[in-house]
Amino acid sequence: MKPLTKNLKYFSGIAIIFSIVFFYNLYAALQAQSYNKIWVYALLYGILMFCAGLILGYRDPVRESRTDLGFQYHLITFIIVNAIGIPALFFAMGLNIETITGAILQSFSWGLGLFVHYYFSSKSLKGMDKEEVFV
Amino acid sequence: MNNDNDYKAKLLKNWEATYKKGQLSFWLLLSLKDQPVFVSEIKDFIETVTKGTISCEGQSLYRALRKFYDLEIVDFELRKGNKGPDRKYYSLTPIGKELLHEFTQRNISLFYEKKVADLVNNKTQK
Repeated sequence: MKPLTKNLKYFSGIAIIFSIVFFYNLYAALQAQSYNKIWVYALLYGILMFCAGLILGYRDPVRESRTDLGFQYHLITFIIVNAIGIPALFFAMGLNIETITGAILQSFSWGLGLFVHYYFSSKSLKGMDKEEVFV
Repeated sequence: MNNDNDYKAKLLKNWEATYKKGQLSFWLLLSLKDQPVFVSEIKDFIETVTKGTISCEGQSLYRALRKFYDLEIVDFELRKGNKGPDRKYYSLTPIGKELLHEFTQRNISLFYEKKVADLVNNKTQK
């Protein structure tokens, strides 16, 4: 049993590329004060990440993994976005109390959502409701 | 007296409905124990060995088999059918075999213990 499925590896690669492109363009737009572009970039980034996860996740064979694939995709997204987004924030906006607080708040609130997802995931069998498996 | 029979039939129907819930998994996995089989053979096996007390739709069998495939309990191979498209022949995986064995040991073998068997047989002899 592999730790990461093939599709999850593809998704990780795609998420890394999308995140680098997004954060680069985000801070470039901020520095150029092109605030109207920010919404477009953010929307595009969100839609592309969601579609990539949806398409690759939907085609990912459940049989290949012993854990909940939905949670794995969520965890990978969390790690990649924060690992790229937080250093990008500090690099572009400087290391100060505002950026540190912003980074902590973003990671903490998302982390809380991730924890709730983990809780429900741990109560399932490969993402299936335990009560519904043997009926 | 007729009133009693009607009432007993109602109770039995209710009890059986609850009891049968979950039975399909057992009979389905049991049907795969000895050799690879395709869906209509599974359906026939279940209806024959349970003497028709458990009936199953092809759709619910496919749903269950798909779920068990994802859970690595069953596997399948495509084989040529008599006519038409290839058939999926389902079999138990090593995990599925162990699972069925342990489930049977823990839950079904109890009925063969002398004390339980005597109680069940006395009841049926009356």
